[in-house]
Amino acid sequence: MAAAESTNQVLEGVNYITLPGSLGEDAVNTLVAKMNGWAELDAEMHVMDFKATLNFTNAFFVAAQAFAEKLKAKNSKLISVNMSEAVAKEVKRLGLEASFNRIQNFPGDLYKKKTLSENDLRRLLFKYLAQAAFAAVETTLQSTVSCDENYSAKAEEVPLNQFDMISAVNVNNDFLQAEFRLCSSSKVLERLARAMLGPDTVIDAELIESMALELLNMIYGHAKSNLNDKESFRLPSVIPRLMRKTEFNRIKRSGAAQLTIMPMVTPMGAFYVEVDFGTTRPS
Amino acid sequence: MATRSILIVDDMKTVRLKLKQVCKDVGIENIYEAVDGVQALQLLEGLSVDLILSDWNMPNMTGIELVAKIRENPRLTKTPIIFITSENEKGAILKSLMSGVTDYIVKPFPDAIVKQKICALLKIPMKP
Repeated sequence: MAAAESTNQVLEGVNYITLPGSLGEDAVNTLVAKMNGWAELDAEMHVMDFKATLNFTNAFFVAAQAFAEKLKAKNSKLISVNMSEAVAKEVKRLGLEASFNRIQNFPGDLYKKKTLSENDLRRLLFKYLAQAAFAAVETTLQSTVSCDENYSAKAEEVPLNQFDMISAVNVNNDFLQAEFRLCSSSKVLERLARAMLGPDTVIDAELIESMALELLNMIYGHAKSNLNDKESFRLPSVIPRLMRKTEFNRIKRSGAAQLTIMPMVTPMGAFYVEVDFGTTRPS
Repeated sequence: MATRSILIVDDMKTVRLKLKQVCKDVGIENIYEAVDGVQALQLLEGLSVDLILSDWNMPNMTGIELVAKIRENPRLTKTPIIFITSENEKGAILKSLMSGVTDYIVKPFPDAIVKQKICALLKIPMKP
């Protein structure tokens, strides 16, 4: 049964508003009072969910337009989801599409498409990967990492056979084709795991492998989210996979023009994040 | 104070272990673990928990799919669920809100944030 009043929930900069089943005059008056409060929230995005709304009055559209204007002045965005065709038709008739920002294809419609040069794409990718590595090491491991987004080690200086484990994420969509690899020795992964879990934890082989996977998950995931949100990238969610030493022969590293190797140096040892733009299939 | 129980759902052992440590730190005694959504649902058939901590990107069943299944179960509609995930895009936040998630923690996470959110949801006093 639809709620009698609108409700909202705020998470990570998103104010999610569930509209009530009926938007008569009383409901709109209550909604306007709430909208005035919501407009003051520190939220980058306000979302109106129409799923429960069965009927509406003109007063609602006027109120929503005013709300959208207030948000625009604060560089905040209003979008609408689960809007029925009847509501969408009325929004269009009133010329309010720009206020309501109906989202039908989710999440694609949320992001504006942007064309990036190859250079800009790579520059931003390395910048955000470095930031993600800082965040992962500082927050999870309570340590520091040194990484220069403008520096790439040479492949011959970092042969794969010096590592014990490589976790990888393969991206292959219309935006980017590349393989992201995190390369490390077991010793370094063991130290990183101990930093994460404390000195009393017994670090077994499963934990070491999990560390390789989760570290790449955090670095790729953090970079992906920020790049997609802030730079209009379209990187997909991917679950990392693990390669052990016996599987390294499957990795065909590309030449220098297509391969960037970022050393990440911590007090517990170094690991490497490499981005291979010459790969379209998983190693 | 009633004994609390939490279910942790994550395919990574390091994360499960870390969250288990955090839960113990705030005094949670019964901590259950699942490596993915499928195992989580099997456990929940015979289990009542006060809170579920779940990852998003997992094999076999994503966190979003898990939340949808949990919310379909009349016994579990009100069970609080916190996503703990590296997904931080506005689209992901919105998707999780629409699916019925109660709260959200972005990886990498400071222990203090996890403790704060668990204590707030379960109304447990935070230790100084």
